[in-house]
Amino acid sequence: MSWPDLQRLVQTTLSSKRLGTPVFARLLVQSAVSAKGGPAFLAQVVAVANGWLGQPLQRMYALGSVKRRHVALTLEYERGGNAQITWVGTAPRGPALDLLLVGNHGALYHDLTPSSRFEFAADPPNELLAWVQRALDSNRPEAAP
Amino acid sequence: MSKTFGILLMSGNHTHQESYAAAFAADKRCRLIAVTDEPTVDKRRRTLNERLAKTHGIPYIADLAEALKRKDVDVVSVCAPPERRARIIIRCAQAGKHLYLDKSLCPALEEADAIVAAVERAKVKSYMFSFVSQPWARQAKELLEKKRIGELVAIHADTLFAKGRTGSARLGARRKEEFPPRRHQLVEAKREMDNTGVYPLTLIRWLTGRRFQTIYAITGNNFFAEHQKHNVEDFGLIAATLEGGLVATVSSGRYGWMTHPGFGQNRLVLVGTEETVIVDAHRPRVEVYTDETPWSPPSVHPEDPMAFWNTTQEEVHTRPKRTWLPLHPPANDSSYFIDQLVAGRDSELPAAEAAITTEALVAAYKSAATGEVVRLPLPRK
Repeated sequence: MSWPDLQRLVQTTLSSKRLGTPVFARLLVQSAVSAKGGPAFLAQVVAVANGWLGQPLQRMYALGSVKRRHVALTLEYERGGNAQITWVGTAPRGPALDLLLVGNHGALYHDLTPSSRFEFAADPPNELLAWVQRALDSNRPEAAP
Repeated sequence: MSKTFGILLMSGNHTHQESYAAAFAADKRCRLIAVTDEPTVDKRRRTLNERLAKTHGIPYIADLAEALKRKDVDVVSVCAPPERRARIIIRCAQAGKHLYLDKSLCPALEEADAIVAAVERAKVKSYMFSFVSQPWARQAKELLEKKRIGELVAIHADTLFAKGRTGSARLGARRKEEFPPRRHQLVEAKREMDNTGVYPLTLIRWLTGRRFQTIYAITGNNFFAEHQKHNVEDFGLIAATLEGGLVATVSSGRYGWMTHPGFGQNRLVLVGTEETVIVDAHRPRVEVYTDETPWSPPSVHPEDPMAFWNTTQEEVHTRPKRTWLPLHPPANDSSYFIDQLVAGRDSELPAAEAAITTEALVAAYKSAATGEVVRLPLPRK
């Protein structure tokens, strides 16, 4: 399954309200992005999670580092939603993704499977990219700008 | 002739003792001696204790002190409510009894330290119920010990219980956590970051042998009005660092009967320098689909709406989920402890190790209440 296919299925499921209100997303993406491109890649993934949760992002906490090829982001949303995003920058068996999306009436699962390239519709907003960079640099929870 | 271990059951029905007692009873090396508790317990608790004693055809000894005098008691299985747990564990240790302990160890750091000191002084063996005896956890341990994924970089763990009728919590605002938490366990709800988060935290410590250095945590009320009503969380997230720069994250909680075909998301993502591997309690598995009536949630038991206990679920005729059948059946955790006693060694999760998880959980609640990253070790008074 490709990343756009997964995004489309997730969006369709959320729109159907079968899960109820989304409250938590756990997303693992494995992709050999260059260290320089790491923050932008993470910002893209955060933007996707923001769309799924459908709430303004309020705080972001980063552990790990782009240099070590592993980052874990904890995201807190204004109306109580949360997300944990993990990026693994080593991909010996190709890019992969794994998703758990929980709503207050159900859950959606996508197992770790090889994926085609991660393609994003647009560049991440500059403000979000700067926020991700700030979280990566500070090692403390960073509030919305 | 091999030794028979006498098992004293501290507390009865509507606790995990229901399943622990059954597991000990199924082990031919064990003999259930009695159910006991503190003499001051209320009528409801006493009735529930007597009910378990009756189930197993053993006496109820209303005074723990009297029960601990019995020479035929080798092990006490302690399932007291969290707030009474520490003082009871300490008394049992002082009586020279080995300890099979419900999780989590206790709510407060000072209590955990006192338990560790008492167990060490008494030189008794101890073990806290956990997943370390389960086949999938052993598989994760072997992967790491044989360095099959290179050097470990991070562990991401989920323990989410698929129980309870979800959708009743009022959404729309972030939960405001209190510190220290006043209550951990009520009839209708438990603090789920503690109740379910204890498993992955324990696994992370056991798998890595490293201490937690920082903890950042969030609690939430995403699913159940019962939790919200009592101001306890049904969901918790933890982002932690351990010695050597290891990163760990945990999601834990209770998210409703119908959210998972098995007992809930229960797995570890092990990120290594060479490979990322998922170890899942439901893998490998067989999946069975038939023309049987599809599984549906049981009626809500008024004394146990979150389906904590076996007896209440029998009363509302809860059917087992039978679509996903893990290839490796769950291990008998109490038999694991008896194995250690027979071998004359301590368990892999004695009180001292369980206390490390308590410290992490205390730090997590502090972090959730303050919104700050908490550094460990926590200061002692």
